[in-house]
Amino acid sequence: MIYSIVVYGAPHSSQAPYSAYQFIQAALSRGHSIYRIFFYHDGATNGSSLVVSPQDDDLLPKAWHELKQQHEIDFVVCIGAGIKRGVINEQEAARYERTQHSLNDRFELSGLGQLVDASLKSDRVITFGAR
Amino acid sequence: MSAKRLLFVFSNSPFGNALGAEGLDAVLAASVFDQDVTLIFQLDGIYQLMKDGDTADIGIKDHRKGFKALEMYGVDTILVDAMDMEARGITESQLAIPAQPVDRTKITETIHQADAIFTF
Repeated sequence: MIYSIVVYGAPHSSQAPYSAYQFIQAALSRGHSIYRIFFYHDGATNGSSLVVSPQDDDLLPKAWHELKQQHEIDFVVCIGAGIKRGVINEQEAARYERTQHSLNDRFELSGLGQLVDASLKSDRVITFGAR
Repeated sequence: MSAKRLLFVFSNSPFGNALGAEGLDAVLAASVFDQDVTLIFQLDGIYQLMKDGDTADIGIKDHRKGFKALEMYGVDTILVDAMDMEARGITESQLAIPAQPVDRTKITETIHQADAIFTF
């Protein structure tokens, strides 16, 4: 089955990204594929390269990077959600005249159309962190 | 490819978090894809549709006005959980848009029929 995953929660703040990560590992180990992970709402923070995790609690966001290296999965941070939360790439930093940018280069900054597209191209869309 | 049934379920009150505002953005994005879009408002999500109240004094934008634009975007199937409405003492006349109160059977049926469900 082809899954897409939507993550609403930030690492070190919400259980949502951790549950999403475990779900993805379980799905992949059973032969399913993940088409896209869409980071929305506070989940945008998963795409920040500036997060510093405590040494004894450093699964995320680091594990996203390893997952991305091992599998062909689209990692999309919603651009609207990201820029409001300080998760921006070099291009957006220039556009909004910010001196810094924070998006990890394994993630892509794109629009909500990517969420809708994911639902059209996947058998299931699973959201983590809605309530 | 035939149109897919995209269902958006709102369960959170409007201003405690940004899910309502960001959910509305997602609905508007979906509306341009020429798919079959349905909305369900349940639990405290029903407060998203209240006619009254404003955010002038709390320093945040009132995204709820955006729900009124849905009809213009061709989104006209908007369901509200009638039991959740009753539990909160909300009547149809208090809602800002014409949403259809439905029973749990209809809610369950709509969820089962959806190709993809987005929860906010």
